Amino acid sequence: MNTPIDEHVLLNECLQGNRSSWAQLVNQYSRYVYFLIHATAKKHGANLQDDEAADLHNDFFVAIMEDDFRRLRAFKGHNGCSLRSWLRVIVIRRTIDSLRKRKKVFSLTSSEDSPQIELVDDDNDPLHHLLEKEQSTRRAQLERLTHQLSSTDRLLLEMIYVKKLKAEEIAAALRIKKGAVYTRKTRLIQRLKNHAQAEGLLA
Amino acid sequence: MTDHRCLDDELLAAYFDGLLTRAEEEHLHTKALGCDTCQESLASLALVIRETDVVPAHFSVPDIVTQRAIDLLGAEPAHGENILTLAVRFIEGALAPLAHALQPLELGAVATRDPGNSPAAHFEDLRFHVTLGDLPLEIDLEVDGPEELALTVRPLNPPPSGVLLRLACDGETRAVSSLGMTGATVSALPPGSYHIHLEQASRTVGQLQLELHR
Repeated sequence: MNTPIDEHVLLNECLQGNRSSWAQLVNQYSRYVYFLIHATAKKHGANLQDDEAADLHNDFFVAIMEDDFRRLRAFKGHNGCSLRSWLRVIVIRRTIDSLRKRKKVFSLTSSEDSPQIELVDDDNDPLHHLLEKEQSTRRAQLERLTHQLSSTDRLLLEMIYVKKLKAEEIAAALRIKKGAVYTRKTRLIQRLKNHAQAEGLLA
Repeated sequence: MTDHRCLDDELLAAYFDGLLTRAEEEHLHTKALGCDTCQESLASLALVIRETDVVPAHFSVPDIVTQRAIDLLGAEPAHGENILTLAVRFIEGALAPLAHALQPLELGAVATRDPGNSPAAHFEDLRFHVTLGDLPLEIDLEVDGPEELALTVRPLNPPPSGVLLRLACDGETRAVSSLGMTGATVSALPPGSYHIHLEQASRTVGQLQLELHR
């Protein structure tokens, strides 16, 4: 197996139309791209045939090299982002897009071995009902309640109460531990309750 | 491909690699907060990324799949086949620079590509930009065979009305065309010395000479 060369060197040579560098780039990432396609499909409950995966694999490499490598030229490596990580995001996004078009994705549910513990309690807590209200009604009231929260905390609440995502999904999206989803939620709810009561928003 | 792209691919990649500062992460979360599509994208990406950092040892990609991707750029032409060298002479009203390994030129100079090991020493498809008068143009050269090529001249901005394109080869006019946004293509051209002349109301806008030889 070839030792991967510096990715920026390889990238620059590809952008100059160097065919052997393009072949090296493809050889370096082909297996990973193919794996990502299959893993994405599996994670989203889709049964992907080998020829479909092969088509997606080819479509991806076409996408990054067509129009004089327009997509590849857009990569700048900001924030120390690696080429591999950037390609990974593109492959997964394209695969999800394709699966959605084929209507093979029915939900964002995780694999079957994830605990099905609900984050939204099925009780009569008025704060929970406030958080679940229609977006237009909820917006103004929530703005007042949540304006002091960080974007991350607000996003966490939105994912729990509006998107109704599972703890595992939220943890992955926000890059926190799954346990932290529960503890943050508890802490935030208490804080919001205190605010809501002070504002007279709860019965 | 999804049309909606609030969250840039590179930003997301850096985010999931833990490369963003706390403030940058907050900014990303703020963007996601205002957009349902971004939130779903964040969640669905996250689930896959978390489990795909390492490819299992047993996993393989079929050779044919990899080769298909490699072949997207086309095979190296056999020596002496479909290989042309290019020299460009800017005459009246023409401006450099050119893209694709051709060197920027001063007005009136001649550029000849290095016939050595440069990847641009030979080509089957070449695109470059040049400005004739005030009109930026995109020029495509496609080699269709050992003795045949196609030349396309396409304006990058809407051209003024009444602009005529004349193409001559070795002194002989091969094509005359009014230049619209779709441009003009002349095919089945042999290697030779080409003169591209742009005129409007009998006034020369700009001229360009291309020497295309085996």
